[in-house]
Amino acid sequence: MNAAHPDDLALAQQIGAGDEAAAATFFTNHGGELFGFARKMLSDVNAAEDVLQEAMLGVLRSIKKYDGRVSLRAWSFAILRHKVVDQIRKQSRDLLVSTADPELENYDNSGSWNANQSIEPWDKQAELLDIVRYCLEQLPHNQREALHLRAIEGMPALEVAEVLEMSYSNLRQTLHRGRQSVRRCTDQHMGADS
Amino acid sequence: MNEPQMPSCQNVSDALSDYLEGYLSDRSRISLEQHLEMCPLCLVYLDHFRQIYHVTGKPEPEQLPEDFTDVMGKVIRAWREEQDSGNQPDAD
Ligand SMILES: [Zn+2]
Repeated sequence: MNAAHPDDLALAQQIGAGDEAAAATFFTNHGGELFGFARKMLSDVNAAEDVLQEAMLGVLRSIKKYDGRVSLRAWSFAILRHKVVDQIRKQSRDLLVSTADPELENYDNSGSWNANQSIEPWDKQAELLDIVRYCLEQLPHNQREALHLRAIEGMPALEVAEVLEMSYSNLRQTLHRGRQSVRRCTDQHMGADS
Repeated sequence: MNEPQMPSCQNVSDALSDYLEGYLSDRSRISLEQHLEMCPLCLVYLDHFRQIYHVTGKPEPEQLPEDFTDVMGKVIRAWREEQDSGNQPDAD
């Protein structure tokens, strides 16, 4: 046995053997962050509650398959993430995925900013947080889930990559494109008269 | 001498996450900083990007759903019943 997360493996075995208190402790410790992720991805509290419930049941149903290779926390997030995607598909919403450079049209052939491109300092700092939240919701699905997971306290990038089933370098690229897209969207709204 | 080529604005923009996280080699970092010294647009872009990096990376306070304890109790009971009845649906 060579689990990277032996304590989590022991806990999963305990839960698998029917220890309800161990299950309750695990869910109470991680329910808030799981729920927070679902809420941000679905922007509907009721749907997020349903998905959390399905994910908890999914964790319990497959707990005996947990092998300790990733943390039990990341493993639970992966189950939740699949439920979130199912829910979005149920609502017939598209899962837009993008790897494109959001600034591409703003460069000339040599990769310099276009001559008419202006980039001004932001002067509406008080509104920044609200604008960024709005812009996060507009992101392609892959960038949105990567940024939300990466912002979870104490969730290392390697675990985020595991949850998203992508390579570490692909995750870094996705996060970067997401930040660029949010910057661009924020800039457009900072510039707008309101 | 192997003179490093000056990165373009696009190269700078592409490298900013690595730059902020300290992933660039000394050589890449120095040429990026030389570009920033000469390019006011990229300098403002970096300031924007840094703000986005920090705001989007900040953990938000978490809250359990109001009736979490009840819901969790129901979930755990449902799971136990499935197990006792021996017909556990396949997860995913
Ligand atoms: Zn530049």
